[in-house]
Amino acid sequence: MTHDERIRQSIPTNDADTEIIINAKSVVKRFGSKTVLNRLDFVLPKGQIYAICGNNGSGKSVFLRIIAGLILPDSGSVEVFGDTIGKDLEFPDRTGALIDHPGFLLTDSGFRNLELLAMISGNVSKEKIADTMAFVGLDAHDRKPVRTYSVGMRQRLGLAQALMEDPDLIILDEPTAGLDFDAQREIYEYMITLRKMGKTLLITSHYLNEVKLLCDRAFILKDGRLSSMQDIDSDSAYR
Amino acid sequence: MQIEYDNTKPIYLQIMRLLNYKIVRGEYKPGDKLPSWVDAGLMFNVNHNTIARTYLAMSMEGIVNTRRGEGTFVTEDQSILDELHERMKQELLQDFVSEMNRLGYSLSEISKTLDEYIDGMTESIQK
Repeated sequence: MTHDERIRQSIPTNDADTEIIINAKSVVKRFGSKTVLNRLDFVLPKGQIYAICGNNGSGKSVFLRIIAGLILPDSGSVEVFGDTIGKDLEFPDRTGALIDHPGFLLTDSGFRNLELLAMISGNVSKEKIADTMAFVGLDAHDRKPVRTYSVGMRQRLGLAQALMEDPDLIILDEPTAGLDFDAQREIYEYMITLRKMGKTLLITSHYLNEVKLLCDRAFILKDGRLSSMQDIDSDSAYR
Repeated sequence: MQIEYDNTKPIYLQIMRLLNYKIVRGEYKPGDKLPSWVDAGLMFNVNHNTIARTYLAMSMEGIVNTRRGEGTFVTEDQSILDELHERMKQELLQDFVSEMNRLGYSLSEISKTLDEYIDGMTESIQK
C-alpha cells in the first residue's frame, strides 16, 4: 500500500445510514396559475449543510417557508424529525429559521428584541440569549437600538434569533446576502462550528464560492424541481 | 489563489502537498497556526470538509497538531520536519528520474545530463 492509500483508508467517510432530518415528498405549490414547486422531492441527512440555489423567484424561499411551517403545500408532504408539518405539528420541532428580515422593533436593543421573541416560545433564559448573542459576535449589554445596527449586525441578530432555542435544524435564507467579505467569513465560521456541533443546516445562496466552501451537497431549483449540483458533493467531488 | 487540481489525485492530498511545501520552505514556521477551515477553504477554493481532511492527514503524520477550539499548528518537533524535508526531496528525485527514464534516458545518461545542466547553470551565474 502506498503512503497516500494508507492515509486515505484511515480517514472515516460519512455514514450512509445517518438519520434523515427533512424528508419532502412530491411537494406541489401553486400561486395562481404559476406552479412554483412541481412534485419536488428532497432529503436532508443529519449533520450536513445542504444548499438550494436558483434564480430569484425560483421558489427557494417558498420551499424554506413550507419546511418551516409558514405556508402549507397544495399537495405532497414535508416531514421534519419524522413529524409531518401541518398535520402532526404546525411548526417543526427543534428548528430555527432565518427567512427574510425578521421584524425587529427598531427602537429597542438587540437583547430586548430577542427577549420579546423568547417570551413567545417561553423556554429561553436571559443567559441563553446573551450566550447566543456572544456566539454571533454581538454584545448583549449593548443598549443601542436596532435602528442604528448595520446590515451585518441585523443579520447577526437574525441569526441569534434562529439559534437561541438551541435548534438541531437551522434554516437560513441567503444568510450572507448584502454582507461584506469579513462579515461573510464570520457567518461561514459560525455555520461550520454549528455543523461541528452536530447541527443540520439548510441554506439558500446565490454565491457559488460560498456553496462550494460550506455545503456537503447543493441543488438547483429550476422549473419547480431540484437537481443536484454534481461538482458540489463533499463525498466525491473534493476527495 | 487559482489552483489547477490534478483530477487523478485526491484534492486533499494535493493541498497537503502544497502546505507541506510552505512548511518546509519556512513560510509556515514551527508552532505557527495554519489558516482556519474557512480561510483555507476560501484560499484553495474547496469545501471545508476537504480542509478538515487535509489537516487530519497532516496531523496523522505529526506535521501539525490540532488543538481543540484553537486551531491547527505546525509541529515544533524538528525531527519530523527534517524527515518531511528529506521525503519531499526523495519524491522530487524519484519523479525526475522516472520521467527521464520514461523519455528513454539510461540512469548514467540522466546523471550526466543533470551534471551538465548544473554546470551550465553555475557558469551562467558566474558570468
